[in-house]
Amino acid sequence: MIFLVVDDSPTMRRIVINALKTFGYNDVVEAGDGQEALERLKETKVDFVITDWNMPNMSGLELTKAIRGDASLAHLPILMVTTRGLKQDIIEALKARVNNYVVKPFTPQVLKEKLDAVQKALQGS
Amino acid sequence: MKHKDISVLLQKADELRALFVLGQRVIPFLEEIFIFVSEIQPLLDEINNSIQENLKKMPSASKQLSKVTEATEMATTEIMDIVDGILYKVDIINANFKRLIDISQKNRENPIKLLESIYKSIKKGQDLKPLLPSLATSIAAMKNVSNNETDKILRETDELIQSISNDSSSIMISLQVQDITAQQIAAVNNLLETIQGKLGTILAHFHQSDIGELVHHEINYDEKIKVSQLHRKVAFDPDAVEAIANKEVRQQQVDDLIDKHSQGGVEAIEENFSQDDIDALLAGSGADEEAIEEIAEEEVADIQGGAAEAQDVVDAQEEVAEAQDEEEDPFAQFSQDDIDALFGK
Repeated sequence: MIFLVVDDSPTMRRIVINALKTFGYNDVVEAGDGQEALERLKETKVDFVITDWNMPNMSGLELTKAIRGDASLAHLPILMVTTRGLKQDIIEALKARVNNYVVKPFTPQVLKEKLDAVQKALQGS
Repeated sequence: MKHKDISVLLQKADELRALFVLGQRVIPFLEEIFIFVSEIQPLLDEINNSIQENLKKMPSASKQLSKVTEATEMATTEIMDIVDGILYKVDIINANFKRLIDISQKNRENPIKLLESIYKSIKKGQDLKPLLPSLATSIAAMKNVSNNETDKILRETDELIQSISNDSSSIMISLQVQDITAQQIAAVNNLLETIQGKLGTILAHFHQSDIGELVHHEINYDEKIKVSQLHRKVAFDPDAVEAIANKEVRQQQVDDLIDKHSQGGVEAIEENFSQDDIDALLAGSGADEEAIEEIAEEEVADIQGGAAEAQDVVDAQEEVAEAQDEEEDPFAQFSQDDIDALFGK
């Protein structure tokens, strides 16, 4: 399974990738913003997107909308990982059709739970 | 009239004429001063308003920076505590290895002694039966050491290594503060850039005006330096640092919200959380409800009116947050459970 980790903070990308590796997911590509993520998606066959919200050039929300608007990518599961925890933010993310939502700072356990939950939901549907 | 009186009168008339001549010369100068002051007044008003406006923003910037300091101190303390724990555990593991080495040496010594005795006895053609008790004792001792002490040390060491692995994860979590504080500092940088822009505009107006000609010293100001561009471009959540303060409950609340979404969709959340939630938010806070609504409405109107720069959004959020600051609002942020409630686990 190939993950795309999108975050403008190299520290956060490293933390997420490190956590993914402890879960046994070693195939990871990374991007610093939404635009770069779309480029990675053209180059690599990604199975799962983990994205931050606040990013320069193209935000995680805009990236989610772009993915959902592209027939070839629309099926991709998206997990939003962000500092934004306001009710309105979550509603906006849901409207953009993210599959799940994790607020920073998170524990690896929470990240694993959400990844499993998304995969389980996709298998069920 | 005497001749003397007439000459005094003429002298006075001459002085009066000189006074009028002076008046005629002074009037245009006074007019210039009047025009100058009328032109300068709007600029002074602008400077005054801008200073007031920027002064208002300063406490907010200071507050944000002090939160960054608090957050980094907290994270550093957490990390140092964890590292202290790791060092202590590493000491125990070292001691355990030494004990295992001792046991391993003992385990080797006993069989060697026994084998040497057997070897000597066989070489001398002696009966081996007398050696049986010491053989049995040695076997029992070896089994005992192997089964009890070694196993206990290995189990303890395994637990310690697992615990160090968990500690490493905890350090990783604490290091997320770097991203959060970077966003907070980016918000302050954005604020500084807004102030820089406003002061730069005033300075330009000042130099274009007549009063600018009175200033002999050029102000050395490099308008090309933008504080927000001194580092990589950082998009920010102005309330990012709040994430640390409420980290225990936020995910829980978000999960609950997502559970609700999974049961009834986005519409259900918006219905469930619209007025009731706002009422709950405001009822629970000690803040002036009207003031909060007024600030929010004004700012939203400004933003929707097209005058919305990033700073407007930041300011709006800050002002609303400040108005609500009097009492912590447990519903303002959502936890992982709220999110789970929306999305379904």
